[in-house]
Amino acid sequence: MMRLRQAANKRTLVAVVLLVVVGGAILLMTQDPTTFLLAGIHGLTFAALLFVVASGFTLVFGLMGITNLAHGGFYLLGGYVGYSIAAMTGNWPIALAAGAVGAGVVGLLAQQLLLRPVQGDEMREALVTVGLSIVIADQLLAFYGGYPDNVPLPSIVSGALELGSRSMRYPTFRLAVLGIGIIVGFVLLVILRRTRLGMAIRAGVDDREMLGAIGVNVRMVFAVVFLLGSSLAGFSGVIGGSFLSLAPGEDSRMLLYSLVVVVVGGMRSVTGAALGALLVGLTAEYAAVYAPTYAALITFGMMVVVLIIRPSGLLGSER
Amino acid sequence: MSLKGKSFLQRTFQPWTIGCLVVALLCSAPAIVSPFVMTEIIGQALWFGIIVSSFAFLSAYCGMMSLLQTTIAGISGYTFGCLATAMGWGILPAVCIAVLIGTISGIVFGTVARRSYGSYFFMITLALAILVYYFTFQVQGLTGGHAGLNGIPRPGRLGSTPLDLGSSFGFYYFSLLVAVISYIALTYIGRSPLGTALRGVRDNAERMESLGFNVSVLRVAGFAIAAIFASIGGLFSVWYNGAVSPESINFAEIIDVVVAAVIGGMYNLEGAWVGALVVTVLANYASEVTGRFNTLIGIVLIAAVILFPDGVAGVVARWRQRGRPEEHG
Repeated sequence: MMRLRQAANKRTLVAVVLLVVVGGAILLMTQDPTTFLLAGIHGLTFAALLFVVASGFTLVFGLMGITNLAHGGFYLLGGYVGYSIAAMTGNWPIALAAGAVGAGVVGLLAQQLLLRPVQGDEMREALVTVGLSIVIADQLLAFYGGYPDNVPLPSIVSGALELGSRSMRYPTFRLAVLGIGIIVGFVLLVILRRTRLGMAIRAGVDDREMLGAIGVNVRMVFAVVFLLGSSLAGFSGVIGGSFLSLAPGEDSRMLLYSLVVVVVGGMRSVTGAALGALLVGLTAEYAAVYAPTYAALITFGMMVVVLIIRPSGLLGSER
Repeated sequence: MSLKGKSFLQRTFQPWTIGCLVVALLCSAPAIVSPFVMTEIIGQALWFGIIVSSFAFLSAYCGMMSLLQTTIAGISGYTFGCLATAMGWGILPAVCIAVLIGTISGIVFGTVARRSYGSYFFMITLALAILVYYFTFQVQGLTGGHAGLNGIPRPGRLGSTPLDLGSSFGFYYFSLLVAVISYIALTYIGRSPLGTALRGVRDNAERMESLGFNVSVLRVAGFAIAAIFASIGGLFSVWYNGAVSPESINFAEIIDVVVAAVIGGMYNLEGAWVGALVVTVLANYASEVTGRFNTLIGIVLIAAVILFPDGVAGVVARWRQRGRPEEHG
């Protein structure tokens, strides 16, 4: 009886939330379609960046059970490496690669030296990454100072595109980011679904011990996944550093977004990260346009509603 | 008699005598150490330890690692600052409302996170803590945005008692008094039926559920209790600093509490104050060695987690075990 009533309450809640969101969207759209659409595209492109950041986070958590709170630190580290390389070579793709490699190498070293000794104890692993995140942030502050920096963009994508009418001009780079997000998602899905490594990762998410027992080198798979996860953070750091900015505090902002994305979307699944990123990105941008004072509160509210409806995230499995 | 008496003494009185000795030492500290050490180090460690003990209480009795304790302390501090400066309230009603608001926010946060466990819980509390951090920037009317609230008054003489919080001696002894009361209260709650039920939830939530306990309510209750003490610690923080700003609840401040708890051993309340003392000493003297305090504190945290999983308390326990054989019965 209790359960039934709870389920009915939940259904009412879902209905009310959908009604409010759809109703509000129609209302805002009829008032000022241009602003509404621009905010929407902004949300989509931001979601693409969030997806790339959070997919690395969710990969590491899904396989290894490590809540990597240094993920934001790897993001900022990659961004700054990209910034330095771009300043030296003036070549954006090289900067992008360098950011990914830089963060990946530091991540791999940290995993081998600091996380292996505490492997299997999820709270101690989380605490080690907390310490790591604060060391990275402090060292970057010492090295690059507190003023915001930007990675210079290549000239092909630095302009703006016209979307439909004269009044709808939109930065080309942000659209490129949307493309990059989709490509990264596609590549990750191919790796996970079609390769031996992906097979090992998916098996490891379900049962780590069994994976080792059938002869897969679990230690190796762990190292590769951590490398991949922190490279994705560094990669997204260069992208984020190009259209947002690199500054102290950006690391905890991106960590926050990654956390909310995986909490909302559900752990352990790349599709969940995509869905979560979409929700968080759109919420953040619409809130920034229509209610800038309460943007944090609205994101909080969104997270609470999702947790009430599904305690382990939208696509999360109860485990 | 003599042998038995000795072990009886050891078992029953040792913690008490040590406790009394520590308190006596802390009472006489102002006469021994310099005023700087008294207020900046021991005094600060005493009230900072209250916030840390709320973290330790949650992790020890409820199995919940909450990164929200600094945030709750900050909310209480902001409430007090807002009421005492902008609204011109008296000290006592402002204190009561600040602790109340801090506790209510704790209940709200606890309600949001109540069905999550382990690192998922940890993540949700961190996400909430950073959201509140950004919220303080955005709601400038209440929080003063970047600059925060400044010129927050410290209470003066407490009624007709000789305790004058305006003086550094008075503030020190008041911190000591509240820290001791907090320790005793949290220990008492931990041993009460409620504390036993909380430990039951920590060890096996499903079994407690089938025994008829309402696990969600218990976890929120644990969170609320911890929030009361975090709020009290937050009040001391604004009295001590005379100000509160978003930087009082940023990631680095949250980490300080975690570092103190880890050094203290995470699963016991006494350790909270030991850890708080270590962090305060580091914060005050690290600048003589290195300009990068956060790097140092991060390295200390990593080293403590890897090398001493159960903190100072664990090291002490092992050292005491070494001399004598395992006691039975």
